[in-house]
Amino acid sequence: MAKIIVITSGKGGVGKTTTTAALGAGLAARGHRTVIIDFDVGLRNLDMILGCERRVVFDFINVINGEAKLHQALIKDKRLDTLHILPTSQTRDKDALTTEGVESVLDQLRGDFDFILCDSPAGIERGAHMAMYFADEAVVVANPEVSSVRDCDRILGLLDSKTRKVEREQERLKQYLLLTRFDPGRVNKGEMLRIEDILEILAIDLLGVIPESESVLKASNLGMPVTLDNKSNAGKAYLDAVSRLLGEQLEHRFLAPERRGLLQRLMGRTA
Amino acid sequence: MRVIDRNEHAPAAPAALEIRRRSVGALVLRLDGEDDQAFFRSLDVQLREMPDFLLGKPIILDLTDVAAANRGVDLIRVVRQLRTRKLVPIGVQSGNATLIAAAQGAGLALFDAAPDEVTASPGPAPVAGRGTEDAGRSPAAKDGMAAAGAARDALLWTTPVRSGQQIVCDWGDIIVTTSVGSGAELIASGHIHVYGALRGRALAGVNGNTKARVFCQSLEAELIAIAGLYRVSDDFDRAVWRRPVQVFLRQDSLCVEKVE
Ligand SMILES: Nc1ncnc2c1ncn2[C@@H]1O[C@H](COP(=O)(O)OP(=O)(O)OP(=O)(O)O)[C@@H](O)[C@H]1O
Ligand SMILES: [Mg+2]
Repeated sequence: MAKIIVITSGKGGVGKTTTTAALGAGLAARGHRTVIIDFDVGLRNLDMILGCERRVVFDFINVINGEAKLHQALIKDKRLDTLHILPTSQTRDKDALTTEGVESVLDQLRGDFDFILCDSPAGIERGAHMAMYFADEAVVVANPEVSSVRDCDRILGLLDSKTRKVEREQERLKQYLLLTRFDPGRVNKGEMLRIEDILEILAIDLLGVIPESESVLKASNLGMPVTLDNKSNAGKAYLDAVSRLLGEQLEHRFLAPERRGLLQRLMGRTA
Repeated sequence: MRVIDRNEHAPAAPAALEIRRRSVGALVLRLDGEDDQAFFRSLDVQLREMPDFLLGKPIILDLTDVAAANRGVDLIRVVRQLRTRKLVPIGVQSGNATLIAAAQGAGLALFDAAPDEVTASPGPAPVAGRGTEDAGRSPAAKDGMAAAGAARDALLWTTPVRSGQQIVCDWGDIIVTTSVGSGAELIASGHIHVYGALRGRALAGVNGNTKARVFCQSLEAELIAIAGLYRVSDDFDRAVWRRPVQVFLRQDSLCVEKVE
């Protein structure tokens, strides 16, 4: 039986889709059968970050509406045969996500996979609600800034009340915080919140801290999840997060500013 | 007919009718001495801000000010206006002879004014926490509301109060053993105790209890109100900011004092 994990944030543009792709590819690379579902109906972009946008024929909404079979809509990754993507529709809207439809798709996937990752849209409306409703665990993504942390707190409140697990089993789902676009230099200058302060405010477990990194943008333009390129610090930090998701205990890395070489320091100023 | 009364022996007569006595917790609304319009204006503000606090609850109209101003009041009209707002007026208290006659004419019961309205309210309501959509009935919320039944006059909350959550206790104190996030709201008829940082809003003594206080381990609040008098974050002295404090009313002004 698969474990369903929602990746959510409240605030938009904080790195949910990047994180879903990175964790999904990381889990798949370690041999776990993983499927990633795009719940951001109308703003399809998970398939682009995973580099399979030219292979989409049917999507999640077609399956919900009975217009296609699940196996017709599932796309198998070309690099990892343990990784599958269920893309969403670019033309429909969030109302297409019915509770029964989503439940039936998840039920069909549960038997064939170890992990089902749900990439939530921003906000707290229908799309976000459907993405979290059936989850067993939640990864809440935040950037080290006040409004993002506050939205995170709001989402944590919803995760405590508006999920099936809570409604039925009366137990809260496991919740993790993933801090991303973390820039130690700016934290030291007081331009970003410190990790300790964020953890104090949110009072949940830290899954990982992903540094701000150009390699993320490059990787998504190439349709390559950052975890498949383990040379970058962001990729390594995401792989550590994957290990923690699997229950391993690891130190957090990349929390201090990187020491820049002499050449970089000399070149850094030209604009 | 069977009559069960806690104070008297019930006559043993078999019947289809069962009558029992119970005390109810009603909210008391004091009518304005001068002008019903002013009363309804403030009521509408209250209803917009905290609809659940009044909607559907039994309401007793306090006529002290009306009697003192020696003015007549069209209680039938007042009752109608309250009902259109989905409030449930059941009776009056503290009127003069004319007002009492008018109340009876409007089908309202007569109540004795309780010596201390706020503490006179009865035990816990079945659902004390209300989330705009979050807290309230959900099991996680119940689990946060540990042993609410154990302490009769306080609602105990043991999980973080998240942004967007609202906890309402109209029968006593709220005790939160963790922190209250920015954008969260605590509303109590009694005191509010927060054994973590208070970053959201805390409204104590909302039924008009000017003796209610707010206590917290770290004052980082967006707003604190006692019996309707409030201060916002900007108004707090930096000397008390992020400190353990108590907030109380002294001669109609909100005082913040360190409790270190
Ligand atoms: N660690 C990082 N370093 C640098 N840029 C990043 C990092 N993580 C994400 N980004 C960039 O931030 C932008 C938003 O990322 P992403 O699309 O993953 O966010 P999202 O939360 O899914 O957004 P939406 O709410 O619109 O769905 C992208 O341009 C992405 O490349
Ligand atoms: Mg996204």
